[in-house]
Amino acid sequence: MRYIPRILATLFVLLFLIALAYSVQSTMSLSRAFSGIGTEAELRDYHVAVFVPQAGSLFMDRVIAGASDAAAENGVALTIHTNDGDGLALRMARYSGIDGAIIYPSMGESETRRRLDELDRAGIPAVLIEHGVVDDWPWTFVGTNNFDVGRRIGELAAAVNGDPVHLAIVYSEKSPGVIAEKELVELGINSTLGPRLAAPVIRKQTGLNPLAAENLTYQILRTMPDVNTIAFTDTADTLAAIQVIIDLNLVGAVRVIGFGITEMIQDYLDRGILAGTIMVNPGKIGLEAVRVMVGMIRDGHSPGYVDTGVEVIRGRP
Amino acid sequence: MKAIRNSLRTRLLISSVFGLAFIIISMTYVLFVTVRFQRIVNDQFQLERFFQDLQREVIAIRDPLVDYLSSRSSTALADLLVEEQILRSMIPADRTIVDDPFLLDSREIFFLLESYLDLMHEAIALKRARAIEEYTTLYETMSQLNLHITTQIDRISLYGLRRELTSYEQLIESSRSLLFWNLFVLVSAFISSVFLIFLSIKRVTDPMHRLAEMAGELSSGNFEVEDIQMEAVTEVGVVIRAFNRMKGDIRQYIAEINKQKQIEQGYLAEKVRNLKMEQLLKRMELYTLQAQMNPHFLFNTLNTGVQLAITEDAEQTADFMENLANFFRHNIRERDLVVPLRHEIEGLESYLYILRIRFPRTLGLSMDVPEHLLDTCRVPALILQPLVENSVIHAFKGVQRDGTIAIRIRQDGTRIILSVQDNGIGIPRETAERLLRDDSRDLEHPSKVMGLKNVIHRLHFFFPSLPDVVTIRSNDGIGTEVLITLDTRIEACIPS
Repeated sequence: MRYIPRILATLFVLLFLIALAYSVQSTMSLSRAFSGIGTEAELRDYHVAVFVPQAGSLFMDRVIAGASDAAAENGVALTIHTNDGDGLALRMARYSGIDGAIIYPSMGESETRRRLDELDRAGIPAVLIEHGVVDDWPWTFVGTNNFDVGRRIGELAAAVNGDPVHLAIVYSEKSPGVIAEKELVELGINSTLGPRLAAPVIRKQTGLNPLAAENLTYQILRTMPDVNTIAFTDTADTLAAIQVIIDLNLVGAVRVIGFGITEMIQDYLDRGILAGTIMVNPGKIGLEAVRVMVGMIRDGHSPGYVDTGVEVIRGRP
Repeated sequence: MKAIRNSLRTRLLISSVFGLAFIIISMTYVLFVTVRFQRIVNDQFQLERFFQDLQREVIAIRDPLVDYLSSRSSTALADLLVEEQILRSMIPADRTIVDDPFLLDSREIFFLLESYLDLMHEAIALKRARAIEEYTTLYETMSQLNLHITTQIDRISLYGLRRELTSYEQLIESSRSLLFWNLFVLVSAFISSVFLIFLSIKRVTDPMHRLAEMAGELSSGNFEVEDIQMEAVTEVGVVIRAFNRMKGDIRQYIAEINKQKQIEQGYLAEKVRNLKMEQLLKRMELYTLQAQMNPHFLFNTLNTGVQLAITEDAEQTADFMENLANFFRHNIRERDLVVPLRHEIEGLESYLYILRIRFPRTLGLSMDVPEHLLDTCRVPALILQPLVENSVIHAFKGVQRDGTIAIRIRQDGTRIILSVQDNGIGIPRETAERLLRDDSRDLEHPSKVMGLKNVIHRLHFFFPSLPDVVTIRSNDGIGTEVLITLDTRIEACIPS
């Protein structure tokens, strides 16, 4: 009985210490969490800006992810700018204090060339990704050779079809790099299929709407019954078109060549709904672009051209 | 130093100060944390406010630029330069490259702004040089740059705001947790302080409580309780030690008092026994004395002699024998210890007749007794005759002149004074004082107490409250007077 006050005093002192410890911990964690923006950010050697099309896509996300990985490895800080309507960000890039610019040329070639010239005059190195521009000056390029893309589509169409091949190719604004070099893509297809093409390749295009391919595919199949093979250049378009093929019960009758890879696309491949898919490596594009940029900043020169390759994926048996 | 630390005042002061300090420190800590929390919240939106100000200034510089380029007025130029200074002061010198999107965008904005200001100077120079086409083109670029800067500021403000909103939930959650723990800190600090002060007070008051209990025990007469052995503050320790010592002393005193009481009781019992024995002895002595004066045979013989003297016509012999017989009869028949004065005087007159016959020429005897006192006064029996006898025996040894003995009795208020005076050789002072002193040694030899001393003893015995009941006035060679002073209000003390 006589020790109860002493026990209670000790207990409350302990509670006080525990509460104090938790309070201090809460304060410190709060201070750490909100101690100011960037206080925990790492110092970087170079500031590189990446200019990508306004519309975000899985392809661009992967490019940026690859670029971010390479930036972290090479001491580079990246800022991502979307080329909005008038491309103001790219126009003002020369004044922004950046050490280099990685550009996805989504605007017209002449506009792109002007910006490249401005950057060059300001002493800012630039790397083009996904596709290049026709110019007298050999601007550094990292990306896929779209001729190879066409060649791979041709090889796949030949493999899944007998003669003749009625091929329609659907470009998309969501993959502007392919659109920019669609002639090169078709040159690759023609060079592969040659006489097996029953008719010239039918050229179609979707907008930024991820569901746009559904209606377009339906129209192709209704108005062009001879088409037995459709090739897409965007992942969202591929997924949208497959639904139409399934709905019209044309699986096997119309061969679909997809673009990119997702779990659903892989499932369609395994089930034979998709004949195959063209896989360009956007992550590698971003990765190589940053590496090339770092080389240009540090050493003053670059390899000029880096091909990140094209791959064809078929269903698993 | 230890004594100061252990003192009651210091203890109470320290415990109170410590308890209060505990609470105050806790409250200070909570206040500090609250202020810190407010600063964190404030810092959250500081960058947004800064970019809002920056955007306002970027927009504000447009008008002076247009004014100057269109009018080239010095006022517009001055406004333009003022705006430039304001903007330049807002551009941080440190634009380190870090891996943070917000800071990287901010860095770009500062570079864009710096480029804008540099282009502004270029435009001013072109205006002064009247290069119309060039500064017009440059103005267009600057307008786009200005627009881009404000757009970028909007973008990062929005980005920052979104980020702050994302962390706002975390902030609220953290603040709720912080408030809870702070409340817990305060409550537990308060309760801990209360208990610590209580313990300190208890440590001081426990010994006092024990003291109060012991005081209760002592007041109920229990002095056998054990000493208080407790650790206590200096002042209370002093009280405890004093209390223990006091309890021991009281216990010892009580034991001594009890012992003395037992001794006194024994002493009193012994004294009472002695007194009873003394009374018995005195009575025995009295009876013995009276027995000595009871010669029946002699009395009867004297009566026979009187009858014979009458038969032979020897009248003087017959008177002598008759007085002698009266004297003896008086002595024999007297059994009362206190008698009327008349009775005493009658016996004395018989004795004086005998003396006059014995010493017809050499001894003068006189007696002066007021008649009214004879029946109103009572005196112890046989107190005058022994005095007269004592004078006859001792006062006239070796004296050639005639002796006189005067007996006087008088009343002085409530006092009756009986005096027997002689003109003998006197009694030495030492002898008189020794006679008057109630010497205990005499009690051991009562048979030897005779004459004057017998009278003195009996008077002291009958009147213990009158220390001067008998006095002796004596002058060497002139005479002696023995005075007996009785108080009519005081009865003789006669043992039953």
